[in-house]
Amino acid sequence: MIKTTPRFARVISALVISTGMLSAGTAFANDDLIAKGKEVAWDRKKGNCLGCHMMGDGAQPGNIGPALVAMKYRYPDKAKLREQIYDSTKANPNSIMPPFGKHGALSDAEIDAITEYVYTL
Amino acid sequence: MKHLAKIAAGVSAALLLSSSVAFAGGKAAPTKENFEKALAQANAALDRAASVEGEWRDSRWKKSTFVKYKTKDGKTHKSSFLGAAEIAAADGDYASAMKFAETATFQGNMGYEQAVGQKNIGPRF
Amino acid sequence: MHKIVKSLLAASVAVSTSVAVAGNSDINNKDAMAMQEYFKNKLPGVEMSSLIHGAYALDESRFDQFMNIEEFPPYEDFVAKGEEFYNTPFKNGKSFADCFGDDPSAVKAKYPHWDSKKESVVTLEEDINKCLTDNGEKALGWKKGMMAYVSGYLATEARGQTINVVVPDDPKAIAAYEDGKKHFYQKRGQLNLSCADCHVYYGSSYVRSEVLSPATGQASHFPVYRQKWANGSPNEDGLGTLHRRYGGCNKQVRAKPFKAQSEEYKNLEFFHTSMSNGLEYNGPAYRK
Repeated sequence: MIKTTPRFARVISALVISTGMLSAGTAFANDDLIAKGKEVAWDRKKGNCLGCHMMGDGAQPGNIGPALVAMKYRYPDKAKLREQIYDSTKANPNSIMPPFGKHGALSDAEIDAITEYVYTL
Repeated sequence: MKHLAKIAAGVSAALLLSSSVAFAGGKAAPTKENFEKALAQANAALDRAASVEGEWRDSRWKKSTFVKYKTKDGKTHKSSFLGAAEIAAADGDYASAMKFAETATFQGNMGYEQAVGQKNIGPRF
Repeated sequence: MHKIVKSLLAASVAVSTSVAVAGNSDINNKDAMAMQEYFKNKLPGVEMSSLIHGAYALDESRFDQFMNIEEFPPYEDFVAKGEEFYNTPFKNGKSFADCFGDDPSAVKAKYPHWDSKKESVVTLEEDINKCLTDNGEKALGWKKGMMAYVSGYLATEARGQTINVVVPDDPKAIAAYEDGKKHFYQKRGQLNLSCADCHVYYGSSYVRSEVLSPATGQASHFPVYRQKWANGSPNEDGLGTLHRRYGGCNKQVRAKPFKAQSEEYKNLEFFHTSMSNGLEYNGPAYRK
């Protein structure tokens, strides 16, 4: 008998979030994911995207990476955007964008969320 | 001496990695014994990374304050991943302790791969 | 004291000086010139000599603000403490002049250098502590406090002199130089960044509102007075040595920092300082 402890629930949620990506958002409240993604993206200790990218209405953005605009146009395949966030060195081995997923700086759930948020830009 | 230390680190890492407890999906039971295996595995991986100057900041460095862990008495501790692992284990929370040790092992392996991959790097101009 | 006796005494407690080695590998000057060429192309209209002012050289209004601060620099009092310490005799009657010679303006430019007897790079901070401990005094901390003040005093004395780090034609010296160069170009830490990533390939770019300083000219102005360090200090003491900053940078990319004056950082200093060969010493300087 498996005890449904809070930790167990978190593990299951994490699994659901990561598989939720594959079912094109139908299994999950997308707005929640986007909100979570914005939180992680703007967190200086997590995504800190504003450090290098113009993003939304963020003040004093860095100019190291391209501005995060017209994302659906630039990444018709959302999975490629997720890949870029997960490991930028795949597309460009010299990229100075931290490999957030590959190096475990962000969890799979956080990367899913950021992908959803960035895709709205 | 440094060279021998590198070989020793590599060999012990290889031995530990081959005899490791399966951690995928948290299958190993959270016991003191399994935690100690996980801890040894983490240190071996980190020693291997250190042998090529590839160790990361928050794996086990004593001054890291990256990981926050609350013990049963309600106090929040800030430390490295291995630091948090030991605090959790001392508090009887072997599940968290093993998770932290796993992350430290992951970082040790990544740091090693990173350093080895960067071995012949030079200016691109 | 009679001049000859004094100089003999100086020789007996002398710190290591550049042992005359025939030939100079010149790899570092080739590398330094290549880096300058890179920045000349990247930053048209920017004088290479002005890069000793780092990011402030790239923006006129920031430069003006910087010059205002340098008129009444916040590091003055600390440098004065360093001068006093440098001129105070040790308990055994000797002083820093017995180690470094009578002319304080001739000290800074000798460092870092390769010592073929020790078979390692020697830094100024290292020899400051060697002088202290050789004379029965306590060693100073490597990163801040009196070490930074003394180093800062010797830096002010050397202002305007030309940086010229020599890599002698000695395979071990060249290996140390190459080791420092590797560290500079290798990605490290969880964030996967190299010194070059920020300070060469994206030197002059913005991280939020901060400008990344180009690597050429970076080592000229150390020890540095960093406002960030001052803000965290009870008496606004922002002075810190080069190795203090190396540790900070390593930590910022989530790499485990090396110890100050470790072989890793001394080799890095050897390479990094020579990238500013031909430029002028202007330490200490204020930085945000």
